[in-house]
Amino acid sequence: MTWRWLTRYLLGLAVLFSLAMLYVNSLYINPQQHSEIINDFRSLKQLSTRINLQLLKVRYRLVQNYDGLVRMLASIEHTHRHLAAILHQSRLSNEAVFRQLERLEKNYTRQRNMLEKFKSTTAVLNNSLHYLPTAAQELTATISPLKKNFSLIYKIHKLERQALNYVLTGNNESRAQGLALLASLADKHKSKTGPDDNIQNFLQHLRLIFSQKPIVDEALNALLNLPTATLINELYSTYTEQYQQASKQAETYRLILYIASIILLVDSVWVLLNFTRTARKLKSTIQELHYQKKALDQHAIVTIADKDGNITYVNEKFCQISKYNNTELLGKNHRILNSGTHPPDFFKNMWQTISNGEVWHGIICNRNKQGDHYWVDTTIVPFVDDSGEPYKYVAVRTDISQLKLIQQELIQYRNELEDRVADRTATLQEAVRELEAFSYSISHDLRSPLRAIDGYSHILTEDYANSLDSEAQEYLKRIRHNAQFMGSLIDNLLRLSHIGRMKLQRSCVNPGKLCLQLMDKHLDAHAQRKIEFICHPVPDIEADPEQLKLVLDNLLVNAIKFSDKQHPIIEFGLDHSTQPPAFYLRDNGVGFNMAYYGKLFGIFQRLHRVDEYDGAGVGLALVERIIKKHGGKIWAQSQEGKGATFYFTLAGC
Amino acid sequence: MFLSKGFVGRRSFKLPHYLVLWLGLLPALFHPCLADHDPELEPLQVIKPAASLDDDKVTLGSRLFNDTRFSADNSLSCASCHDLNSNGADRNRFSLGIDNKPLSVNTPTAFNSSRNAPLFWDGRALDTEEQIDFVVYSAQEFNTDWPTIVSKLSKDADYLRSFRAIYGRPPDRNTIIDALAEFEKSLITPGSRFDQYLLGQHDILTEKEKRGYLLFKSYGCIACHQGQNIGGNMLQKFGTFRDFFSQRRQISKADLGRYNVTGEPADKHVFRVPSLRLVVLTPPYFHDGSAKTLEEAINVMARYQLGRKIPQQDVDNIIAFLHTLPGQYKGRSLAIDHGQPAGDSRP
Repeated sequence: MTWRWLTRYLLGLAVLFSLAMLYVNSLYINPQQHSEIINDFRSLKQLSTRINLQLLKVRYRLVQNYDGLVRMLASIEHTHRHLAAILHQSRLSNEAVFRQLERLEKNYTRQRNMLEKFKSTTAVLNNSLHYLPTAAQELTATISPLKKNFSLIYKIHKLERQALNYVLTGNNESRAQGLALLASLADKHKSKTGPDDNIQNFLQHLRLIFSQKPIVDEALNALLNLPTATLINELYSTYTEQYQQASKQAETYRLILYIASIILLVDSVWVLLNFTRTARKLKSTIQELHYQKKALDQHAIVTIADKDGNITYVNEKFCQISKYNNTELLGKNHRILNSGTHPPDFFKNMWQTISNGEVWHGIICNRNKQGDHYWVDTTIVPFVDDSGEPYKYVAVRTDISQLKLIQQELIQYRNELEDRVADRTATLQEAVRELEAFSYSISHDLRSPLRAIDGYSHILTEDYANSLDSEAQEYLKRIRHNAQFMGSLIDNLLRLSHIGRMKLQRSCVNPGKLCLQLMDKHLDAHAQRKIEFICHPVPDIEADPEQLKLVLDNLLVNAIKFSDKQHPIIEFGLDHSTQPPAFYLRDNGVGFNMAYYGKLFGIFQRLHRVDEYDGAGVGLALVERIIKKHGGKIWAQSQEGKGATFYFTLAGC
Repeated sequence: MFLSKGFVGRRSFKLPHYLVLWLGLLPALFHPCLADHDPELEPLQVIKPAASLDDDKVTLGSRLFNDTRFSADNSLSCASCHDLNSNGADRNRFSLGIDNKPLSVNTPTAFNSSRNAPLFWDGRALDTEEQIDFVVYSAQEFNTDWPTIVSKLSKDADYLRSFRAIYGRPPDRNTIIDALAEFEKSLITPGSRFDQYLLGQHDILTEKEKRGYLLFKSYGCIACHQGQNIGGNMLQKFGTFRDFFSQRRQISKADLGRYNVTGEPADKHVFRVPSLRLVVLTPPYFHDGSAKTLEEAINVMARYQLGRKIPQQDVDNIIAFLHTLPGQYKGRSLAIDHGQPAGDSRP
């Protein structure tokens, strides 16, 4: 794109340059000046011929005055001055032209002087020629024919003829004869008085004619031989040469100009076509924009404001929602819609954003003409000029008053709900606390009568053993046994409730190591059973060590209790197949029926008879409670007779 | 030769070139052959008013002609010496120049002077333009220069307006001279009785006057005093047959005539032949005003220029002829001044 503009500029410059050169050259070839110069040359040539012709006419008395000569001379002078002035002005003139012009001027000065001489000498000759007939007539009149002076009269007339002949033809014979006759007559009539004086006077004029004629002819010939025509032709050809050279040069520039113009023209046409295409594109774009605007207007509330926030455009939707009409809004500031809902900082922030040229998005509560509030989801887009300064703002809004209403209702509902839940939770918590306190107090309070039953039964057995038969003693034994069982039940209950109230004290602990410690104790206790314990290494976890110990111990006790009587195998590890990974403890004991899985973690629930396996049925309930307190999960998988696997996770692993 | 070359050669532009030349020459070649009685061939010619004069320039020129701001001391105008109310000259032997000092030659009339060439007694000016220059710079006459004159005239609002209207610029040497020259072209005295005679009214002249004309021709006066101005268009030595100045006790510089211009010995005592159009109105005569009357002048001319003596009767006839020459200026016959100098007789 840029190189094309560059070439266009260069082309423009080329055209301008050629124009300038052409102009400068056209100064050299000013056609009007040229035609004037040519005209002057022609006039001068004509005049040089005409003046020669006139000279001949004057000389041979075809014209008897000098007015024509004087006029022609003035014409020559005038034309020559004009030509010289133009040539001095003309840029075509060079040294040669000036030199030749000077020579021509000198020639004309000579011509002028020679012409004056010609006129003077011709006048002298003409004077005598004019007078000659009169003089001859007067002379012959004075000569008395009676004195037989016919020969004198004849001679006078002959002389007159010879002189005229000589003057008109230049016949040298006439001159010789005339001069001879003149001399002889002059000799004869030397006296200064009388008729001789008249004769002398006559002869004087004759002599003058004979002597003046060559002078006149010389002056004439000198004038005719002036190289005026040659000089004019020389000057003319020098000038023409210069002119042709200049015009050839101008022709070259003109050619360049033509070429450049054609290229420029093609370029202009191309640009024009481009413009048309762009205009068409622009038109369709505008139309599209128009439709887009229409679509926008159908959906959104649109206003346009100038940089001070004064409204310059509102669409129909806006009028509908604001209840103002078009004319009421145009030119007004957006502030008239301010509902006062938002703090001043809200709008300050908005103006800061959009005056920086950034798009602002937010929800505004406005007030319509009737004072009602409405909510609009607003996007303000600043239009920035080249310097980045916004010059207008387009605000597109969506009416969200309905949404806002629903939202408010929803919040209200939620708050109400939350309040209710809190109430109930509080009641529930109170109930639980009361229950716990109750169970604690019951179990605690139950222990003393139990202790009394057991104690008194024992005393009875000890102190009255002889007085009681064996059957009574057996009953007493059973009483004591049940009392002790109930005591252990109460203990377990107490422990359970105690665990429920205990706070968790997490620290880093390794369940694997804990298992091994616990197992050592149990292995000692069941040394005769040859239990195989497999403990896989597991990572450390965050948990309450005492409680975890309880969990593991319970599970281990169960595993040992229910494991294979022949060859018990207990395995502890971390199962990575679950998500999150769960610890597991597996045994190969009796297992349980999954149908009773629901009862597995219930308190005082037993899946086996007491006489088969002892236990209070509190262990797994306790375990589940601790695991849940840790935020973990516990579950089990088993098949009757094929052992069971307990899995558990602990949050914070 | 030119014709054949032109036609046969058919060389692009040379054809019209020579044709023009020939077309120009043809009438000139045939003209004299046809015109034995052509009035143009007469030694004396009818004087015609100048064709196509610019009236505004003439009016402006007339103002300038009478403007005394031309001279250094604002005392003299052109009209001071060339009084158009009488004869276009004055009656004195020498007009009074600047500081009232007499000039060295007699003032010739301004009437018909635009048809004279060269100008001045010694023919030092080729045309009116040069002539005005000489007068402006002459120490005896205006004794000033153009910048002074132009600055003086430029202060005149009327002039400024006129020059602007006519020439489109304020007055300067060229425009002032042009206006004056245009005015001088208007100073023509056509319609004389002699001109009417030349135009064919043969009975308008009396016998005596016709006789005078014939004598004027036959005595040879016509050799120099020819053309429309009856002289004024050539130079001639004063004293062709005899030395006019030999009897003078003292020869002034002005007496040397054209010699003062060219410096050539042959030009000693050569003067411009004066026009005889208004000769009867403009005594005294000759460059030095030495001839107080026409009679005296004619006798001097006959003796020194024509080499003969003219009888008194012929002189009278010639004078009668000379009286037919003055025409009219602005439709009014030029009157002879009432204070007639002695010897100026009328037929």
